[in-house]
Amino acid sequence: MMDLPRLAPRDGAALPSRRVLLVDDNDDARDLMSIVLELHGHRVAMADNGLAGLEKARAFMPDVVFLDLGMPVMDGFETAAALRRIPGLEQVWIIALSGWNDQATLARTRHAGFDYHLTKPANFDIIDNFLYGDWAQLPR
Amino acid sequence: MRQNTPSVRLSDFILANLEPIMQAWEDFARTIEPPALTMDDTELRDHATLMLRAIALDLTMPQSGLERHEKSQGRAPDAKEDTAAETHAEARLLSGYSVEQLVSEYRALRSSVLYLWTSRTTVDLATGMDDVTRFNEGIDQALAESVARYAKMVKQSENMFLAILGHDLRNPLGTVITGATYIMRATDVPSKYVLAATRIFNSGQRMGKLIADLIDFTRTHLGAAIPIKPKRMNLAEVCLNVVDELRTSHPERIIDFDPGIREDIHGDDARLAQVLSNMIGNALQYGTPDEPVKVKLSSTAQHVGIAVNNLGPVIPAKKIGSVFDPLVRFAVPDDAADARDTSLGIGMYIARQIVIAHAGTMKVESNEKDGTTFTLSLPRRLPPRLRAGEQ
Repeated sequence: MMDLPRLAPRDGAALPSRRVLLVDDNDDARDLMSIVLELHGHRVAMADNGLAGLEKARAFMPDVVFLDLGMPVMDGFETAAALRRIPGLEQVWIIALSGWNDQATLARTRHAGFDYHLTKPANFDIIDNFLYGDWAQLPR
Repeated sequence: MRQNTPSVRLSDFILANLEPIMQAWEDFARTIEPPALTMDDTELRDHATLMLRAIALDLTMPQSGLERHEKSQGRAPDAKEDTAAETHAEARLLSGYSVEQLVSEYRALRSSVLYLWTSRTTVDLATGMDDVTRFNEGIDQALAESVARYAKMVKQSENMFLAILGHDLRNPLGTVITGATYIMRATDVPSKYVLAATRIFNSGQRMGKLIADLIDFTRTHLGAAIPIKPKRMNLAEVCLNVVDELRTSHPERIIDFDPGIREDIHGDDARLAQVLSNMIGNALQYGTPDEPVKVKLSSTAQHVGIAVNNLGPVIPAKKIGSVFDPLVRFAVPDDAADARDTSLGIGMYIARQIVIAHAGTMKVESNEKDGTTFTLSLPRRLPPRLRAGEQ
């Protein structure tokens, strides 16, 4: 239910460049992911904890946020809920990116306001497909 | 035995002498390592007093022969609430007691009660033998409860440890796979490096599957079933996808696929793909490299079957019973350890658990002529109890 959906790109349109915010306290994971996303033409901002992520989000106004769950200062659950309260980000796509995918964690992410849940190690084909996809096909 | 002291029944003696009994026991407990008890004196005494009171009370009750036999076998009826012996075992585990130390406490309790009783009172021979027998049964029952609780808690904490380890490994693995993806997709890198990155990526994917199996294992081997989300699905199609995937990642091997059925069945496609991936992966691992791995689907009126065959070394008869149970396999040390034991072998355990969750069965046969064949059978329609969550 929380799996990232498979989307078709919009017919005839150029592949979109998305504004992506990455929030993860694991520097290696976050930096590498940003390099891959930039390679694919997206614009990326990063933060290493939830509180810094909220700060970044206000200035950067992302289309999508990938949020790690276990982080210092402010965890992913609290951050997701706070992101939704930022004016202009009520509809931002929030995707959990975590090693945990048990039922209890999935229930918590859903409750915290995440749209989707990706389990690490994440498959980039799925991420690409989502970022390049036609979001008009998605239910809100 | 002193003749000038009055004859006292054991139950009365215990209740009247709790203090000196507890003191003797506590003195003993303090001689056990680790000396730094996390339980304070009151807590320590509380459990022991409750246990002894229960045993003394039990001694005064009439008891049938059957009850006695059951209790002597450690099978007294389970109470809903924790017994003092169970609570005690938990506290002891947290204090760092070994199971031997836990058992030795009961030995000390038994001997201090019997010693004090026989040295301070006159024991009536007729009733005394019965008292001692029942007292011993009571101690044994408490001991059985304590050991069972201790073992269960140890198993739970080991499971939790493995589950957290598995989840922790996913973070660095995710970074490895992202890095490999980056190099694979780069356009300005010589192809030999892209090939190396592809191998890192494939190994990373395999490691991801091992971690998923490990997490499933920790979740299920305490008794929980693997959750499945059944829906209408085409088994042949799912099989073909898995076969194609493994043909790509093992280009040097031959995988024969015979899709014998076309009709849909009811099942969890992702989970059944995991079953097949584990079965074929296992066959590739243990099969002779230049012989094909054969995957064959078949059907009867009520069931569909999948057989995965490899021509590798025959699984010895004494080991075939434990191919689905990694823990049993490692419990018996084997001095002639073969390659089979160099991997955890959780995959076939998980495969079988998923099949069982679909109300199916799974078996293995191994002989010189036909090699090793894992066969599973699934009902075409799930029994109603499994269709509740059907989509």
